[in-house]
Amino acid sequence: MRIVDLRREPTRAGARVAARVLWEESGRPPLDVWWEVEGAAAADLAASSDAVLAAAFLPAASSGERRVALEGPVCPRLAEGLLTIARVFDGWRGTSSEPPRIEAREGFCAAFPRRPPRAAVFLTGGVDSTHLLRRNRADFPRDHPESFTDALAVFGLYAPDQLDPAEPFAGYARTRAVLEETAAESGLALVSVATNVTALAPEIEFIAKRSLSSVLASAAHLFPSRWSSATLASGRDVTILVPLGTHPLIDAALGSAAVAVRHEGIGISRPDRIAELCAAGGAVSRLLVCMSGPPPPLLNCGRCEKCLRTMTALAAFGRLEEAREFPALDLARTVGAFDFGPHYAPYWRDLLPLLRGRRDDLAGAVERRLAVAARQARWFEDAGWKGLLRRADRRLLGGRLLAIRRAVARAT
Amino acid sequence: MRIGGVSLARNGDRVALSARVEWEESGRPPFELTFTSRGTGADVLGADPHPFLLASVVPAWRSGERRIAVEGAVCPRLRDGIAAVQRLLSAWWKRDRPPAALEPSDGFRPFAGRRERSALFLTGGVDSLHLLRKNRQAFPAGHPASFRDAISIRSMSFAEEVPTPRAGDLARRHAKAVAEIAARNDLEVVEIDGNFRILGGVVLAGPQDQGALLASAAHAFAQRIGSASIAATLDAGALHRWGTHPLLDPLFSSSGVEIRHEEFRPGRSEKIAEIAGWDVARRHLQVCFEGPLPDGESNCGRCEKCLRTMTALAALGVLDDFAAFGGRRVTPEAIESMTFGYSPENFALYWAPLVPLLERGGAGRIAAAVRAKIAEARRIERWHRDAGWKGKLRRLDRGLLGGTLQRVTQRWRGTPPAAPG
Repeated sequence: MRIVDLRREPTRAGARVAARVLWEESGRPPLDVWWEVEGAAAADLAASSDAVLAAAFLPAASSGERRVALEGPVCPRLAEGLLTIARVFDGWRGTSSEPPRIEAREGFCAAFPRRPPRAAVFLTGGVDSTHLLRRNRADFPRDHPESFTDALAVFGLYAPDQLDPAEPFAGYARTRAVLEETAAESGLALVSVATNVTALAPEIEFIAKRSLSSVLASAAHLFPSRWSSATLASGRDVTILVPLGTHPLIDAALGSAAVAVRHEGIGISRPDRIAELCAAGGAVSRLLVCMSGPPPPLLNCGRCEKCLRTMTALAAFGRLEEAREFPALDLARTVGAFDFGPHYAPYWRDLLPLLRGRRDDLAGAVERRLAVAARQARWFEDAGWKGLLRRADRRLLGGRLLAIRRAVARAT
Repeated sequence: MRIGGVSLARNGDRVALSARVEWEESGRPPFELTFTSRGTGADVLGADPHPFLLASVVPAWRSGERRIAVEGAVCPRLRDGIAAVQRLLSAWWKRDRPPAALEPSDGFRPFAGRRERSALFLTGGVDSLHLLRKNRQAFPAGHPASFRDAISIRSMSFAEEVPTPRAGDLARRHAKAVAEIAARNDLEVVEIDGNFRILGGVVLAGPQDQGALLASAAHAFAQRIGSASIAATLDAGALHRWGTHPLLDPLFSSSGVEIRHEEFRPGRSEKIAEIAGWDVARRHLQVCFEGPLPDGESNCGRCEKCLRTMTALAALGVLDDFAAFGGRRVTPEAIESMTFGYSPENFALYWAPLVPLLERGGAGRIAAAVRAKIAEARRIERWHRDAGWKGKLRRLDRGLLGGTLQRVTQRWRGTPPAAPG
């Protein structure tokens, strides 16, 4: 992969950094990637090789590229971090791959971080980043170097092909308005970045399991003169970490000598985060947790797993009605009919202590669904005597027993 | 647990920082925890509770203390890190207990900020030498990430109230190597000693305590050092629960001192290859914990760690260039007769990458000896894990027959009633 023509250009409302990505091994057509910023922060936008490298490295690795060659200088700390991430993924998957070489025509050069230090936080409006912001405000005086001064919101990640290059923020006006309110309430400037860079590897699963933090970090690296650290809120607590594209092992490795990337909040469970937000008052009114992109007027669909889980937690604290971006619905009935599956069962199990005695109707619904999830898990794991039978069927009878059972079930 | 009475005493250029640690749940007697330092850096030591809190947190977790009450204020970033550390350790070590609550008498208050000065923990071993080498290659002098201090901790390896001759000798060798390496790399050595290993009550710091103890030492110098880097022991491709770990160490950071866990991409063999041509490493590499050794010797050349390092160097064809090993050679016989080292459960993990290197280097006999030793280690490891059909049989024997079958087998074979190895 070669990255060429990295440039910064003015736009009607701000500025844009763009580059052309040329694939060398995979035969894909060249792709122009860009990041656009509006408002005052655009003055600090820099055409940073580190930003492009952070976003392009993992797609290059997954496409079998043998190198990522850049024209500008690259931070040695970031380069080492990306190679480390490739090995972390290998360790998780039990593979041994050769990551792309990182070639910098102007060499490896460690930039100085800005002085005095200045801290930014990635803000999505969800439970984790809202909680992190609240904690930061409570823990650090406003003039402390670790007190967040900017909130960074990145748009376009999950639908890069739907971005209109002429009006990249057009589809995000409502979300942006809510985030601006949240930021302003905490005395932060919201820096909104729209980018199509996930077009390099647009599959949702790749973004979720590999590249999420790297594309977020790329946005942070565009502003080395504006901040010296950017913090991601952990989506999980340390006891339930799983291999994902945002992870404490990965995120810290995405930092450069100029801009550190932090992953915070892993010591606190999600129910505890929600409990703190509920106790804070006002913090839950603008929560945005939904990835489904529901039609107006609401920003949370109220039907997906994440919406329902958050609504259930809020209901446990009697604060659901204040969360204005969620629809009104019969929550116990909806949860009772929702198949969240074994993967999400640990999160729902965490909610039970909060629900019991407060919302026993919801606790009952969650318990019933957990029982279903446990049965599903046993099925997936081939556990118990049924699992033994299924394994024997597959090994000895080539799965005929299962096929007959399904045929009978269909016929009846 | 209660931590209080933090005090500072100066005696000439020697500074002692002490606090009293009282156990509330475990019934252990109170402990006077002390850090001492002299020379460079000692002037900045202050009566601050953070080093004591960090040295105590893992022992408190291990002993099931329900709280850690601290006299003074505690950094909120460290508060969050300590909560995460305890949850992570409990998850790793399968202990179902809530984290000890942190109760500082003066609440949670951040440090004013971090000093723009970076340090590394320097032992003279492969990992820290490699980290120093990489840092010097990556950052120009004057860059805030360029190491300016080498933190050297005495008494880290042994939990002894009165150092044995072996510990004393190791400390001398260690200090000598660190001083030589620092002098050649424009580093100031910041030395610290203390009885923190005794508080932990464990023979080895590696499995659970290491990162916390290193962080506690760094925090003693918070008025001088803003960032302290720990050279990775494990590599990213084979991470397992361990007391210094890329997940764990950064959690010991505060708003005053950042704790970085660095260079966990390369495996040990890769690190050795990367420092193999470095004159400083060739002269001063110090990997050995054995002793006392004859004057002038840095490494015994016979223990598992020496042999592992020497084997990698031999595979690269540079062992003879390493004065630090005094011209010793690796032989198949030495491999066959060595013990399995300080973490036998990781023996195969450490040695397996050497086999292809040896084979490529034409050292087939040594490679065969290593392969045989790895197979032996795996057999023992399976025995300890009760794995395979034999393990199942042993579990059944213990569960149903009280271990009678095993005792009979051992008597018949004439082996002592203990696990092999």
